[in-house]
Amino acid sequence: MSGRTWSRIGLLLAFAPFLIFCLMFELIPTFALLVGSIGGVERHSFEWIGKVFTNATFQRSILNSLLLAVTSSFLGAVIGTAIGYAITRTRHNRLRGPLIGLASLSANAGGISLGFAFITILGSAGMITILLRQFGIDLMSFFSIYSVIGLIVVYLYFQVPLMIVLMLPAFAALKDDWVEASASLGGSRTDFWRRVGIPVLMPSIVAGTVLLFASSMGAYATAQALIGSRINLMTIQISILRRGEILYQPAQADAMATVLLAIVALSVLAYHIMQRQAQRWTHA
Amino acid sequence: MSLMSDAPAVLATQQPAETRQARRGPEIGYLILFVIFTGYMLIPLIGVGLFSVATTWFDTVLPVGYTVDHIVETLNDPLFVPTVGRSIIASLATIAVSVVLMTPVMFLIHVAAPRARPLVEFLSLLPFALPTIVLALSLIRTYSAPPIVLSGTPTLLILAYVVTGLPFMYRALDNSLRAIDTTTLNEASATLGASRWTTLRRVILPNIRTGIAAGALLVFSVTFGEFTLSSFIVGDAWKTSGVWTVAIWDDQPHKTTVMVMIGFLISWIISLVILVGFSKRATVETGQR
Repeated sequence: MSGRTWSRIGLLLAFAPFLIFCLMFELIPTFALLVGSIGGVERHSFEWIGKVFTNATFQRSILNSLLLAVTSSFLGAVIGTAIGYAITRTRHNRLRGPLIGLASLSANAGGISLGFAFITILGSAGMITILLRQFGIDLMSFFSIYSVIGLIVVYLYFQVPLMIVLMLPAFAALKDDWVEASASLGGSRTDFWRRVGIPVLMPSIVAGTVLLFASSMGAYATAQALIGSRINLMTIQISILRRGEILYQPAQADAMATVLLAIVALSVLAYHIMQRQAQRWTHA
Repeated sequence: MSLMSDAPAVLATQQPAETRQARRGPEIGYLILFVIFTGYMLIPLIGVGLFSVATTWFDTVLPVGYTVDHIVETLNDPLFVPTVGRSIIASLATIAVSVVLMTPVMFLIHVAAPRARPLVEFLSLLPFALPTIVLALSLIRTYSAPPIVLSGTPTLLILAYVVTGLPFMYRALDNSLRAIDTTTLNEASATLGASRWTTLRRVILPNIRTGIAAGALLVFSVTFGEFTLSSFIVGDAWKTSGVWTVAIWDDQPHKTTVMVMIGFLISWIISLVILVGFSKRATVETGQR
C-alpha cells in the first residue's frame, strides 16, 4: 500500500459534512415524518394511519394508485422488454445507437412537461383526438386522458424507455454461444428459452418491473399537471391534505405519505435484491 | 434515475448481433416495434411543439396558422426572467453543494476507506426510495419549527434538490473514479511527495472533470423546471419556473407550452452533450463508429 496513512480522526472529519448532511436532510426528516404520522411522540395515536385504510376516500386513492402502478408497470415491462430485445437483435446496426439514445433520453422524462405534452395530443382538442374524429371515431366516448387509463398511457411514456434501458445489459449478457451450446446438446429453441434464456433474464425483468412500479406509485408532478385533483391518487390525496385548500390535515397527510413511503421503499428494496441476482449474468 | 450515465456503458457492451442465421421474419416485427416506439416518443413532443407556435388550434388536426408571438410574449413576460432566474440559481447552487459534498467522500472510499462504501452508497441511493412528495413533506415537517426554521426559503429548496441529486452524483463520480484507477494515481502521487490535498486538487480532480461535469449536468436537468419540491417548499413565495409554468396553464396555455418546450430543449441538449461528448472514449474503445 501507499506510504500514506490516514488517521481515524482525519477520515472522520473528511466524511463529516456528507454524513451530517444525510442525517439532517434524509434520515431525520424521514423519522420526523413517521413521528408526524402518529401525531407526535407524546400524544401519539394510530388514528391517522388507521384512517388511511378505513376512510373510503383514502382507500379509493390507494386502490387507484395501485391499479395505475401495477397496470403501467406490467405493460411497460412487457413492451419495454420486447423493444429492448428487438434493439439487441436487429440486423440494422445503425438504428441501434439512436434508439438507445432515444430510450435513455425519455427514461428521464416525466414531471409537469409530460402531462402538458399529452394534453396537446389526447385532450379534448388534442391532435390525435381530432384526427380520429375525422375518421368518425369519437375518442372521448371511450377514452379520457383525465382518467386512470389516461394516466397509464402517459406513464408508459417513461416506463417503456426505462424498461428498455434496464433490460439492455441483460440481453447483452445472453451470449450467442449459449444458443449454440444448447443446440449442440440437442436442445430446441424452445428448450433454450425455457432452460437458459428465461432463467437468465427473469431477475432483470422482475427487478425492472418492480422499479417501474415504484416510479409510478411515487409520481406526482405529471399527474398534478394533467388532472389537478380530478383523480383520487395517493400522491394527489397527500397534496390535498397538506395544502388544505379544502381540508388541512397535516397529520393525515403525513400518515398517507408514510404508507406511500413504505410501499415505495419496499419496492426499491426488492429491486436491489433482484438486481443483485441479475448481476450474476450481466457482470460475468 | 441515473440512466443516462449508464447509457455509454450500455453502448459499450452491445455486441452487434451478427446473427448467423439471418431470419427475415422477426426483422420486420422489430422494425414495426421501432416505428411504434419512435412515434410514441415523438408525437407528444410534436403536439406540444406545434401548440407553442399555433395561432388557433382547436378543431383541426394541424394548427390553422403559425406564429412566434407566444414565444415572444413568454420571453417578455415580467415573470419569465425572475422565475427562470430563480430556477437557474437553485440548480447551480445545487450543483455547487453536491460537488463539494460528494467529491471528497467518493475520493476517500476509493483510496482510503473502502469499508465506508456500503454506507455512502446506501445514503446516496436512498433518495430513489423517497418519492419526491414524501421528501417535500418530511422536510417541511422537520424545518418549520425551531430549532431550525428553513421552510419557505430557497435554502431548503436547494438542500432538497441536493438530496434528489445524490444518486446522480454518486454514480457519475463513482464511474469516473473507477475509470482512472484512482488507487494507483494516489499512490504514485504520494511516492512523489505530494500531499493529500495536492493529490486531490492536482491529480484526481483534473482526471475526473468529465465525471463531475456529467453528474452536474444530470443534476441540472432534474432540478431545472422541477415542480413538486418547489411548489411545496417555497410555493409562490419564491416562484420557480416549474411553479410558474403550471400556474399559467389555465389562462395562458400557449405560454405553458413554450416553457415546456424550453425545458425539453434544455434536457435534450444536456443528454446530447453527455451521450456524444462523454461517451466518446467508451465507443472508440469498442470500435463502434
